[in-house]
Amino acid sequence: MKKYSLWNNLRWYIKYLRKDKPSLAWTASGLAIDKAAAALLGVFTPALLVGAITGHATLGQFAWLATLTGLGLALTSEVNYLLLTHDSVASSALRAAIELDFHQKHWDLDYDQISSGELQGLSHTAFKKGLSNTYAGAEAIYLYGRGMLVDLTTLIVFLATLSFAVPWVFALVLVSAAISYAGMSWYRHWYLQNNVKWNKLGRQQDYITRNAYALENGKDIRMFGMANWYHHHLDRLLALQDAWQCRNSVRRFLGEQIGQLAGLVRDAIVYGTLIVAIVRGSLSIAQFTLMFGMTNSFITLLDQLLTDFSNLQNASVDLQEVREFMNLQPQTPNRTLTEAEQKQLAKRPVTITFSHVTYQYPGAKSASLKDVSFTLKAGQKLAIVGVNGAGKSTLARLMMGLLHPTSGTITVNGLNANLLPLSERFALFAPVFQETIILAQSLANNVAMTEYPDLNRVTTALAEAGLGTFVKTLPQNTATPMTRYTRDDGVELSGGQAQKLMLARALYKDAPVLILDEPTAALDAIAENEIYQDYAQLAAGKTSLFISHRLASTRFCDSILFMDHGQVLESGTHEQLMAKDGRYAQMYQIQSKYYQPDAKEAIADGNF
Amino acid sequence: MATSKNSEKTMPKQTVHRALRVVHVIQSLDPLAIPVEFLRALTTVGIPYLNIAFLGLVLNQLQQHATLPQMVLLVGLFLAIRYLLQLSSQWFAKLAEDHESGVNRRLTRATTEKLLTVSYTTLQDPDMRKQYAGAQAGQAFNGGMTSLMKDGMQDFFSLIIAIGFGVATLISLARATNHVTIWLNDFRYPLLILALLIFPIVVGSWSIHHTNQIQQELIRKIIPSNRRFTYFYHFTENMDNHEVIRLYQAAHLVMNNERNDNNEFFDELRKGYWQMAKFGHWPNLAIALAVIGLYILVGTKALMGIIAIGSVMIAVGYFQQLMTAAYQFLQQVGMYVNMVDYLQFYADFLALPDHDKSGTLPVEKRNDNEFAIQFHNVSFKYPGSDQWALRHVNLTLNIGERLALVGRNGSGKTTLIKLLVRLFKPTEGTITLNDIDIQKYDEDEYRSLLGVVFQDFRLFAYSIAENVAATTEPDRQRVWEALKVADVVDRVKRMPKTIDTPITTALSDDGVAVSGGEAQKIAIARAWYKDAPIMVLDEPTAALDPISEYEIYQRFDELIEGKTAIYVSHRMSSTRFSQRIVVLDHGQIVQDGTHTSLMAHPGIYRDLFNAQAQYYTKDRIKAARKKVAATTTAVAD
Repeated sequence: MKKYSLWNNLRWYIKYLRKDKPSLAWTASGLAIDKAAAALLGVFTPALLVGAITGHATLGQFAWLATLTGLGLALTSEVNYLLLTHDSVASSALRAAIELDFHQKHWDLDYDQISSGELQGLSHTAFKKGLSNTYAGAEAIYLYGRGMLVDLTTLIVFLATLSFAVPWVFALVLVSAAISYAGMSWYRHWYLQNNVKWNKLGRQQDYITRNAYALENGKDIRMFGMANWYHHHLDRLLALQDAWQCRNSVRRFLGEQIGQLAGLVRDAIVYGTLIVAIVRGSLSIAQFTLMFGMTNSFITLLDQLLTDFSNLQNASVDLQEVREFMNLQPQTPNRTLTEAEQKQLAKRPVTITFSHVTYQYPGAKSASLKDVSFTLKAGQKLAIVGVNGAGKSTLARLMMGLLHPTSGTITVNGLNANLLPLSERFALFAPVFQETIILAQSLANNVAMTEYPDLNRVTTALAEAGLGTFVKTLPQNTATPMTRYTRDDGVELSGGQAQKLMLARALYKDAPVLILDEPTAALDAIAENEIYQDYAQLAAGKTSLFISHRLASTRFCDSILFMDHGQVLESGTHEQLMAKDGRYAQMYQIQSKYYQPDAKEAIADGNF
Repeated sequence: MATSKNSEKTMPKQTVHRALRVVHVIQSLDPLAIPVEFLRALTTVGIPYLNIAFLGLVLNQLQQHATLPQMVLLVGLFLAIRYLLQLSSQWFAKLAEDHESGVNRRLTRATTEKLLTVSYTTLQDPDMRKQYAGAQAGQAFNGGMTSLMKDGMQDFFSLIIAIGFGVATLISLARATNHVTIWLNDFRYPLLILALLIFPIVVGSWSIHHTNQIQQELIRKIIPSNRRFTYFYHFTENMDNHEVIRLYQAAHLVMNNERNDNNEFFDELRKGYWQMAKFGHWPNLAIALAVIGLYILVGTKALMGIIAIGSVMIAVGYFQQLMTAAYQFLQQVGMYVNMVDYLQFYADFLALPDHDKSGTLPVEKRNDNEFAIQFHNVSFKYPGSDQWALRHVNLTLNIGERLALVGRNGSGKTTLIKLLVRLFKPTEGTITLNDIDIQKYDEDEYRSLLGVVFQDFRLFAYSIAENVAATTEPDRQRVWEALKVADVVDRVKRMPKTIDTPITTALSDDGVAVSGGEAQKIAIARAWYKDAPIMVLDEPTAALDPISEYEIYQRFDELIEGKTAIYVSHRMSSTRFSQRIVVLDHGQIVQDGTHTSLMAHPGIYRDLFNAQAQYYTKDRIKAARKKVAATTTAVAD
C-alpha cells in the first residue's frame, strides 16, 4: 500500500478546503492571531499590575490599567468564540463534502473493482477511520492542523518579543519537551504495533452486539438458546479486552513519566535561576512575574504543540485508506464511439456473442466461468439453467459489463464489448434481480431511476407491471415516498409488489436486452405465474436472457443453455435436450416428478 | 422512558433520583469505578491552585526580602508537592481510564446479553428499538457513561474545590483591614466581591437557559438527518445496490438526493449554532468584566498596603478559577442532565425480565415423543397493527404427523409458526401442549421441544461446529452426523479446517464464505442437532436448487425420524411429502386434507399446484413452444 505522507495529506486537504470552504483558511489564521494576542495579554497583565503596585501607582492609574488589559482579554475571547462557532460547522461540512466525493467514487468505480472483498474492506476502514465522526481523519486533520498553526504563531510571537531576556530558558524548555516527546513516542510505537490485535477484539464485540440487536436474528437466537453461546464469547472478549486496556494504560503512564521527570529538572533549574537573579537584585518583582508567567505559558504551549502534532500525525495515518480509495480509477476506457460504431451499436435487436470467455473472481482459487462460448441472437429468448453456483449470475454480470472477462471476448453487435464505454453498455440492458432494491425516494423516481421522470411513462409502466390499481390507493400516487428508512410516512411494499415494481422499472427503461436473474424465487406459485405472464409480454420483440434454477422458466424461451461448474454443458431447445437425456433431462425429471398425476403413490405409501 | 420533553422544568429531586439510578448502574457494573474517578478528579483539580499559591507566596516572600535559603526551600517544597500530585493524578487517570472503558464494555455486554434474552415481543417492540437507538446515538454524540463519569465528576469536583478556595480567600480578604473607616474595611467590601462573583454566574445561567432551548430544538431537527446519513452510508456499502444503480445509471439520482439532504442538514446546523452564539458569547464577556472589577477591588487593598502583592495574585487567581469552574459546570450541567436522561434507558432496559416469565411449568419428559399440540380458536394481530394476521384458527397437530401449511404470500403461514414457537402470544384463543396452555410452560423448556428452520434463518461468523450446535462446546460426532443428514458433509470436508472453519471472513481471516444453499443446509443440520421432538420447517429449501432440494427431500426420513413435523413451502411439490395439507388464506384455514382430496375440488390448493405444475405438463410446454426456432448454438465442450 502506498503511504501518503503528512505533507501530502495536508496538501490534499488544503485543495479541498480552497474548493469547498475557503473561509476556513481565514478563520484559522484569525484564531492564530487572536490566540497569540490573548497569550501575550495573559502574561503581561499580572506583570503590569504587580509593577503598578510596587511602583506605587495611584488608584486611578491602577484602575485604568486593569480595565484596559481586562477589556483586551475580553475582546480576544469574543473573537475566539465567534470564529470557533463558524469553524465547528464549516469543518464538519467540509468533511461531509469529502464524504460525498467518497460515495461518488463508489459509484464511479467499475463493478469488478467495488465488488471485490479487498476494496469493500478498504472502503469500510476508510470510512471508519477517515470520515465517520468529528475526530476522524478528514476533520481531525483540520482541527489539529489549526491547533498547530495557533500554537506555532503564539510561540513565535513569544520568542520574538522575549527571547532577548533569557534565551537559554527557552532552549531548556525545548530540550525537556523533546525528552517528553521521546517518551511518548516510545509508547506510541508500541501502541501502533499492538493495537491491530485490539481492534480485532473490538470488531468481534461489535459483531455480537449488532447481531443481538438485529431483529432478523431474534428468532433463531431464541429457538436455539444461543444466549449462552454468545455469553461464552462475550466473556472471553471481556477478559482479553480488560487485559489489553491495562497493559496499554501502564505503558502510557510510564511513557508520560519520562516527560514528567524531565519537567521536574527543567522547573528546578528555571525557578532556581529566577530566584537567584531576583535575590541578587538583577530582576525586579514585576519582571519576575512576567518571566514566571512566560515560562509557564511556554511550557504549556509546547506541550500543546506536541500533542497537536502527534494528533495531526494520527489524523494523517487515519486518512491513508481514504486517500488510497479516492485515488482509485475506473479501468474501463471512457472514450467516445465513432459514428460507424454508434450505428452498429444502435442496431436492433441486439446480438451478443461470448467466445471462450473465462472469468475468475479476484482472489478466488478457481475460475467461476470456464471457456464459455455462445451467441445470444438478435431477438432470441435464451434460458440459462443450472444448480446454484453453476456460474449463471456471473455470466449475466459479464454480459452486462458489470464484470470483465479474465480471458476471451464478448461482442455486442460485433463490437468488442471491452472497448465500449460502460454507460453505452449499461444502456442496453434492463435487468430484474431476485433482490428488490427500492430507493428511499418517490415511487416515480423508483420507476424512472432519475430525478426527472416522465410521469406518463411511469404510470404506463406501473400499470403494465400490474401495479395500476395499487398506485391509485396511494396517498400521493406516484409521488408517494417509498420505504421507511428515512421517512415515517414512507410506504413499504410486499414481496410481490416490490417484484412488480422492479418489472415496472425495466419496462420504463425500455432497453433492447432484457435480463431476468431469478426474479421469482421468493414468490408464491400464483404470483410467480403472474410474473411469467408479464415477462412474456415484456420480452416481445426484444433479445432476452432468463436465468433460473427452476426449469419452468424455459417455457417462454427459444433456446436453453444448461450450465454446471462454470461451463455450458448442454444447449438446445427443450425437446432437443430432453431427447439427449443428459443432465438437463435428469434435472427436469426430478423437478416435474412431484407434479405428475402418477406421483401420488408416493403419498399413499407413506414413505415420505 | 428516556425522553424528557420538559427537561427545563424537571424537578431537581427527580434529576437527582435519575442521576442516582445511573450511578447505581455504574456501581453494579464496577464498584471501584466511582471511587477511582473521585481520586482522579481530586488530584487533577488541585494542581492549578498549587501553581497560583506558589506565585503568590514567592511574591510575598520577595516583598519581605526573604533570604536565598528560604526561597530555595519554598521552591523545593513546591516542586516536590507538585511532582507528587502530578504523579498521583496521572496514576489515578490511568486507573480511571481502565475503569471507564471497563464500565463501557460491561455495559455493552450487559445490554447485549439482555437483547439476547428479552422476549421476542420486546425485541421487536418499535418503542424499545427507538429508545435503544436513541441511547446509542446519544452515546456516540456525547460519549455516554464514560464522559459522564470523567467530565461530569471532574466538573463537579472542580466546582466544589473552587468554592472552598473562593470562600477561604474571601474571608481572608475581608479580615485584612486597617484602621481607616471606609467601605474597604467593612461588610460592603466582601459583599461587593460576592456581587462581582455572582454576576457572571447569573449571566451564564441566563445564556445557558437560552442556548439549551435552541440546542434541544436543533437536536430534534437533526435526528431525521442522522437517519438519512445512516441510510446513505448503508446504501453505498450494500453491493446489491451497486448492480442495479449502475445498470440503471441512477448514481446521479442517488448522489443528488444525498447532496440535498446534506446541504439541508448543514444549513440547519449553521442556523442553530449562530442562534446559540447570540446568547452564548455573553458569559465570557461577563467573566472578563468581573475579573477587571476584582483586580481593582483587591488591588486597592494592596495599593493601600493592607495586603501583599502575592495575595492579590492568589485572590484574583482563585476567584477566576471559581467563576470559570462555575460557568463550566453550568454550561455542562444541561448536557449532563440530558445524558442522565438518556442513560435512564440502560437502567430501565437492564431491569427488564430476562424473558416472558408468565410460565414456570417444566415440560413433561417423555421418551415416546407423545406431544400433542392444539390451536383453540386462535386469532392474532401484530403489535401496532389492526389487521388480523390470523383469525379463528382451530388446528390439532397429531403426534407423528407431517403437516404441510400452504397458502399465498401473506396468508398467515409464518405467523402461525411464530405463535406455535411462542415468539408471539395469541391475541385471542389458546394454544395447548398436552392440554395445557403453552404460555404456562417455562419458555426455555417449551422451546427445547422444537427444532426450527426459519425462512430467514441466520448463521453466525463462528465455526461450522459452533453454528450447528449453537454452543461453544459442540458434540463433534453429532455435528458430523447432522451435516450428513443435511447433505452438506462433503462441502465441509473440503474446507480448510473442516467443522472448525469459521463461516465468512467477518471475524476470522481464515473464514470461508458459504452459498445460500449451503447455509440453508447448515441451518437444517442445526435443527437436526437439537434433536427436538417437533420439527418446524418454514420454507427450508427456498434457497436450494432443484437437485439439492430433491436430495434434502430424500433425506426427510432421516431428518424427521418419525417426529411430528410442520412444513411450510411455496414449492407445491413438497406438499407431496406430507400426510396432511392445511391451506391458509387471509389468516384463516380454508382447506384441510390430503393432496388427492384437495386436488379433487376447486380451491386455492388446486390453483397453486396447477400454477406451478403447468410448466411440467407436457402438452402445455409444447403449446408454449410453438415458435421454437433455434437449434443448438455454439457451445464449449
